[in-house]
Amino acid sequence: MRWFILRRLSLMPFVLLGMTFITFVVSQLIPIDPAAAYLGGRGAVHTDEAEQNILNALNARWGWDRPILERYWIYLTNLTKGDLGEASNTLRPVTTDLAKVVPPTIELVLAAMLAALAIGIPLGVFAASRKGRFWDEGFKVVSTLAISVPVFWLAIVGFTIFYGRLGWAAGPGQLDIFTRAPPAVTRMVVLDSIIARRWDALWDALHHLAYPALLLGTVIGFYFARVVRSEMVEALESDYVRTARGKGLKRSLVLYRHGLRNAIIPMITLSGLAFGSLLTSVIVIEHVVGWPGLGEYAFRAATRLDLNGIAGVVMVISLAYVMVNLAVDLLYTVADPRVREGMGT
Amino acid sequence: MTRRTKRLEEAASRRNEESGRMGAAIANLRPRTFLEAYGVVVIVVMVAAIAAAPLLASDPLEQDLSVALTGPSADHWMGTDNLGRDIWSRILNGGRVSLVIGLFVLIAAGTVGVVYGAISGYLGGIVDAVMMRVVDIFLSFPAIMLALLISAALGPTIRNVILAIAAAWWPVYARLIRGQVIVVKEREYVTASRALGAGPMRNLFQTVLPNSLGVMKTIFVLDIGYAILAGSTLSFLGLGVSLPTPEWGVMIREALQFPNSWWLILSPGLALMLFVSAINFAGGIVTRSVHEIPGR
Repeated sequence: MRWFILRRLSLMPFVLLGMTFITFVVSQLIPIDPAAAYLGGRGAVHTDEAEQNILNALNARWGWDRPILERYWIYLTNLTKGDLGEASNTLRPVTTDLAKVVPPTIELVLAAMLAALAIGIPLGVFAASRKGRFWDEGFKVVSTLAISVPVFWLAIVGFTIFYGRLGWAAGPGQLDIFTRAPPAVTRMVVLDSIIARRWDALWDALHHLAYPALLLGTVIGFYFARVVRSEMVEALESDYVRTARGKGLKRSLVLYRHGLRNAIIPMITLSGLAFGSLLTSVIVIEHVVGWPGLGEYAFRAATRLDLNGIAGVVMVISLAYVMVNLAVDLLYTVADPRVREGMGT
Repeated sequence: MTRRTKRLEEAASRRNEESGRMGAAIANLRPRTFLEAYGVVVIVVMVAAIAAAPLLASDPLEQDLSVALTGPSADHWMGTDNLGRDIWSRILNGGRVSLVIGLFVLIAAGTVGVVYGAISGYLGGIVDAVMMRVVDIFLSFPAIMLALLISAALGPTIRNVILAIAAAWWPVYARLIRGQVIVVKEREYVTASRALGAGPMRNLFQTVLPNSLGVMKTIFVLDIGYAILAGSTLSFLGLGVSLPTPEWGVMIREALQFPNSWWLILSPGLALMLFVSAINFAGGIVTRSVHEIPGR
C-alpha cells in the first residue's frame, strides 16, 4: 500500500514536466501575440514605429522573441529552482500569485464537494427507493433541469435573489470589508480564523463561503444523485437485496447498507471525473461572486494571453488531478475489499 | 462464381444487416414517456420559432430609446433593453446564433474527431500510437483553458467561438471513435470486404466507419445542448459573440449592467435552460434507438 502511494507520488515531477511541454506546444499551435495582448490589442498589424519599439521592448523583457526551444529550456532551468517566471498579467512571480489564489479555491471546492455529497447521496437514494412513482419522476425533471441550466446564469440569478433582495447571502469576496482578516497562515480564511481564534472572522468567512459552495454543490450534487439513483435501482433489483428484504430487515437498513454500498464505487469514479470538469464552473462562479481564487486567475491569464500564468495554472490543475486520481484509487481500496486484495501489499 | 467468393460476398453484405438496423432504429424513435414527448415538442416549437424569427418579431437591432428599459408590455411582451430593443426579437434571433454555434461545433469537432480517430484506429501500430499521444496532449490540457486561450487569441466572433470549442472537443470524439473502429475492423464482414479487393480508404469509410458510429449518435445529439451552453458561457465571459449581435450568453452578460431590470436576465437564461433540457429529456429516445434494437 505504502509503495503504491509512493510510486504514484514519484510520478508527479514527470507530470509537471509533461504539462510544461504541453503548454508550450499549445502556445505554439495557437497564433498568440503576448506582447500585443499586453497592450490590450490582439495581434493587429503594427506599422507605427513607436508602437513597434514598445512591442520589441516587451518581447525582450519577457523573452517572447526568442526561439521556442530556447524559451522552453530557460523555463525548465528556472523550474528546477522552483521559479515559474513572471506573470505578465500581474507583474508578479507566478509562484507568488498561485500561493495567493490556490487556497481560496481549495476551500471553495472542498466545501462544494461536501455539499454535493450531502445533497446528492440522500436525493439519489430517495429517488431510487420511489422508482417510477411521483417523487422519482419529479426528481427526473428537476435533475434534468439542473444539468441543463447555464451555471453562470444560475449563479447571477441566485446572487441577485439571495444577496440583492433577501440579504441572506454575504456579498462578494471572502470576507466583509469591515471584518479584519485573520493573519494568513494557510490562506484559507476559514482555517486561518480558527487558528487565530477569531470567531467573528470565522462566522463571516463561512457566511461568504456558503453561497458559492452551496451553488456549486447543488449543481454537482444533482449529477451525483443521478448516478446514485441509477446504481441503486440496479442494486435494489439484485438477489442479495431481495434476500435482505426477505429476512425482514428494516427498509432504511436495506437501502443504506445493501443498496448504497454498491452505488459508492461508481460515485468515487464520478467524483474523480467531475473534478476534471469542475474548472469551468469554478471560473464562472468565482467570476460572479468575486472569489479571489484560481478560477478568476485562470480566466485573466488565459484572456490576457499570459503564457507564464497559463502554464502555472495548468500545472496546478494537473497536479490536483493526479492527487485526486490517487485519492480515488485509495478510496477504491477502502470501499471495495476485492481491490485491496488485488494490490497485494 | 466460386463458392468461396460467394461466401465472402455474403459476409460482406452482412454489414448491410448492421446498417439495415438503422431502419428499425428510426421506427424506434417514437417518444414513449410524457417527458420524451415534451422534449420533442419543445425542440420542434423552439427550432420553428427561431427559424421563423423574421416573421414573428421585429428587427433585433432596431432601437427605440423612448421605450428603453421598460418591462413586459403589450408591444414588447418580454420588455426592452437599455436601447429600447425588443427582447423577444433578440431572444429569437439570439437563438439562431446559439443554434448555429451548437451545430457547427458538432460538425467541426465531429468531422475532425471521427476522421482522425478512425484513421488512427484503422491503421494501428506506430501511427496509431503517435496520433493518440497528440490526442492525449489535447485532453490533458483543461478544455476551458484551451477554449479561452483560442478565443482570446483570435478575437470574439461567431466563427472563433466555434473554432475554440471544437478545438477543445474533437479529441474526445477521436478517442471514442478509435475504440469503436478497433473493434469493428476485426469483424468478418470487414475481412470479407478486404478480400473482395476493397482498398483501405473504401474499406475504412464505407465498411468500418458506418458500423462504428452507433454510440456516437447518442453522444452527438446530447452534445448539441452542451455545445450551446459552452458557446454561451464563452460569450458570457466576454470572449464569444460580440455586441450588437444578439446571443443568449451575451444578453445575460449585458443584463448584468441593469440589475433592476429582471426581464433582461430572465428570458435568455430560461431560453437556454428550456432548450438544453428539452434535448436532455428527448435524449432517451436516441439512446434507445441505438441500443435497443427490435428483434435482438
